[in-house]
Amino acid sequence: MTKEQTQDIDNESELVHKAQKGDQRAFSLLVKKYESTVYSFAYKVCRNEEKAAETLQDTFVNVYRKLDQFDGKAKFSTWLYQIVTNNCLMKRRRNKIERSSVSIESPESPQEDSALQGDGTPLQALLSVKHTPQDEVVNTELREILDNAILKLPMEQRLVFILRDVEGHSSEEAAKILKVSVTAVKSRLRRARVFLREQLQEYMEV
Amino acid sequence: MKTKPVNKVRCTEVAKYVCENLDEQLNSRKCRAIKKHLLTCPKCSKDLIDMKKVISLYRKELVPHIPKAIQKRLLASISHK
Repeated sequence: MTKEQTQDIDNESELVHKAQKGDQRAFSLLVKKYESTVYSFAYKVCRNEEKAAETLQDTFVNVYRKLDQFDGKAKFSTWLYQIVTNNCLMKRRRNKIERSSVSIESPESPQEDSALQGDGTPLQALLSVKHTPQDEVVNTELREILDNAILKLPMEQRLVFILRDVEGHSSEEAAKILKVSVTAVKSRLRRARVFLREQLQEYMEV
Repeated sequence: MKTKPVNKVRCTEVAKYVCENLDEQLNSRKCRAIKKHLLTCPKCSKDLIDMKKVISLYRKELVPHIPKAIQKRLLASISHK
């Protein structure tokens, strides 16, 4: 570990400690440090900007509420990932229940659940990514293919695939985050990889 | 020191092993047997290449930045706690 990394951990521990004591500025700094990590992970899991934004909000509300439960035994980032993954699982369960009570014909898609803000403005109106028209066509096509494939994966496998293969966490770290054994991580990863390879087979042979 | 001969491995075994250890630098007897098998089995080597492609597609994908409005809303909600 480099001197900078050690210093970074010390600074983070101090920030967490201060935030636990009620220092609002320290908590805001923690949010600033990790908001992109949380949003990016949530986006990769739910493939939808609105849902990623909701997960981001829910995650930091939970972090704020549970901060005094963080005992510093694990890395703060591991604890944070535990909360995000839990929110993703909860959201998935809630959506399943809502879907079964409203309609059985609406599969999970990136366009579903058009949430409104408190003032009635559609959340979608706040979310925009700028691309050139040509990029847009290629990106949209590829994104749809990747979305469709990964959204078919059971959430447990999806989380492992994203943690291990997309974000590059070790099997041990993914196991800690998901509170499962390393064997379970490897087995879920194997199933996820095989499933995605089969789903994208046609695309790769073009 | 005598070394044991490397056992032959089956495709299903290769698939399972490669899936679980794709990016790990292993040099066990079994790993060497798997590598040898991959050199001679077109199906297994294609599966491996495809799997790496899949991972690469998801890894290289661009993730949108957090919209400024969402960032503002998050900070506002935190400061009201």
